[in-house]
Amino acid sequence: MAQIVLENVTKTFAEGVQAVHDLSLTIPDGKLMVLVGPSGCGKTTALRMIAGLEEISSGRICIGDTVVNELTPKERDVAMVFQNYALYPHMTVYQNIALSLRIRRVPREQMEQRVHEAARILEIEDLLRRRPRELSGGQRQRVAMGRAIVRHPQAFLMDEPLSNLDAKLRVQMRSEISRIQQDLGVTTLYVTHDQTEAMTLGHQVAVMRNGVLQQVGTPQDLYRTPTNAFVGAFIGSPAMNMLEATLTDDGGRLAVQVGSHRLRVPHDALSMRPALSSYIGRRLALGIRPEDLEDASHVAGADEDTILRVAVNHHEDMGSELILYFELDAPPVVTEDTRDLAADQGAEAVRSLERQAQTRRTTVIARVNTRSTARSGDTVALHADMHNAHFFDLETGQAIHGDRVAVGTPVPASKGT
Amino acid sequence: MNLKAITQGDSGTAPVAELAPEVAVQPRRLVRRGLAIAGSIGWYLGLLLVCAFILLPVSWMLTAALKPDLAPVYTIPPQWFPTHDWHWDNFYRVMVNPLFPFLRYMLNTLFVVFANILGILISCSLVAYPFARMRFRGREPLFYVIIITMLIPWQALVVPQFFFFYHIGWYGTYLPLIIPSFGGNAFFIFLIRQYMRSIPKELDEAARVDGLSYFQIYWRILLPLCVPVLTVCAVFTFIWNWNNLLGPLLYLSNNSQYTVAIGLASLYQGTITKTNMLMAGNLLSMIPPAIVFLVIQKRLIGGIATLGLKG
Repeated sequence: MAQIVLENVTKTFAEGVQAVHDLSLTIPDGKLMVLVGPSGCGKTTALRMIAGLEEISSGRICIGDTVVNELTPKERDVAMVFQNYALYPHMTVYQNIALSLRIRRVPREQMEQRVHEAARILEIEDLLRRRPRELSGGQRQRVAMGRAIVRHPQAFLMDEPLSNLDAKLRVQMRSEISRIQQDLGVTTLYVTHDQTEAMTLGHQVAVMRNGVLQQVGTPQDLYRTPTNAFVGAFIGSPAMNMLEATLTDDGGRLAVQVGSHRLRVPHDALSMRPALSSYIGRRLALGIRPEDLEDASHVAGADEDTILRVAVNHHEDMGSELILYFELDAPPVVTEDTRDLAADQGAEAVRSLERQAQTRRTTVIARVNTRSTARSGDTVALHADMHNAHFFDLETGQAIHGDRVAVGTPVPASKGT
Repeated sequence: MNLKAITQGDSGTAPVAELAPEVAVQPRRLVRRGLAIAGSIGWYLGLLLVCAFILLPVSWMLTAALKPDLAPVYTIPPQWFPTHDWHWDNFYRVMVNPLFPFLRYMLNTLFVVFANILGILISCSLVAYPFARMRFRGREPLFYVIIITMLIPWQALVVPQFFFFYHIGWYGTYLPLIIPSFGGNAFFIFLIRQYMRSIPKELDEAARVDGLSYFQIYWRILLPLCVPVLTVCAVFTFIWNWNNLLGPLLYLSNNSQYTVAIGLASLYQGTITKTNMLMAGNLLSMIPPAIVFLVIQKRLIGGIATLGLKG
């Protein structure tokens, strides 16, 4: 086991494409770090550079105390789990798992013991004689994990290992991976484009975009204090609502004007974000997470200044949660960040964003108490928890903090039951 | 059971009502079945016809091989199998003829053939591997050079090759017939490279992370996965070498070294040729390739299909 350190690592491909730009990252010993970002953000390239499958254009990668830039994958002593599992089709499960030990000339008895131990951890002992084509997706995934575990490597590198599984199995394997990683205490770098996976798995999550690292932190850090609009919109599901707003000051009372709606900004928001004062009278990007919009009838002592009266266009009742869709007469935030994120979701999302920008009306999502009676067509009063609101610069997309200490947990308004 | 169900009615409905649609459906079903049977009979008749057409020359050979010595063979109209001559001993006679040690020739040929297969499989897969999997300067031009060698006719190389092998003292040995195969063959290199490129690259990468060297990846991962294409190469090599006449004729000097192809050629002696012996020998020489085909037929067809290769 060892920590992995990336120092100013850059990867430029022969065609001149820069896949990873000046990436510095430390994966602490025994921890699981998730590298997350939309497709094509360079996360897999970063992983492959650590594995030794991709040359490093500049910078330094250390595993433990060793600089591994010039070492072969074999010498780096890391194990990798591939997206398509990459099981050797002509070998049995046992042979697949045992191959790396055979190559290292591990004595036969010890090899058998280690293969069976790995198989036991993954509950695939009865599959050892089968060939990969006789296995289901989930079983193949386990064998791929077994191949990594059996080596007792310095680190695990996982490249979207769950993306080929169906949703139910993915949730199950996610917790398995988490359990195994914790039991074995092996330093792990896990690459995914799925932010839910990132949030549930990672001790630490690193968000990448276009080859540039955006933010590293615990899932809570990223959720509560995103460093820019990209991270804010990328982390969390459903995604953060992003609207253009104007910050106003009514004789000492700070408020944001969102279209025809006015929401008061609590005092502590300003004290936590000193830089906010320089935005008074200017436009900025307001970010409100769907879970910070609540049916006002379920909020004890909801202040009239923080209430939006809206008509629900559409609702989704999933039993465990109730999602309301409504429109606000303010334009959505259209920056490179939000465009990129929409593009990652597909052409329809981009069109929808452009349409909303044109009509200057934004579809907003609220996740409210399941006991709320609000349904499609109703007009409902929604309380916006402005303690948890996020503010970003419209030009740069950077979060408006003023200082980096503003990480404290704001007190949320108490939600009624 | 069925009868009971029909006559009594399972759920208490009138039996006649259940029978009526059955009767109505039956003639249509019968017609359809009849058509299907007629169709497959026609299909098999067609196949038999094609088969007979292909076997026609063989049947003529068999007829000729069973005739007594000096009996007229090239009759008009030709005689097809079966005829009134049944000299099966001709096959025995051709095998034990002291001037024509047929079994010896067979063994010699098998030796040359299998040495060639070994050479081709090792050399071509080893050369194809880096072309399929490694990145190095000049890979593409080098590959084109190899492909271009396919354009050089074999006959153009005969004389210089003969001088070369003669001067290094290999005349009269099997070496000139075997060693070149260890130098690779452009066509097979091309085939194997294409096949290797269809194997997912992640397998190589997983193997590299698992600690395998480049050679180990070739030997333990790619080669076992290339069995279909290697089978195709092996069978082609078998047939080419089994039928090769010019090579052995050029380089072999001693009767005891001869291959089947030369042996058969030596049976042809102009006007005094014993055609029955010639045909018997020919038929015997067809047996080993036929066995090879029968044994690996399935694999071969699978291999050819995956390669998108015909003929």
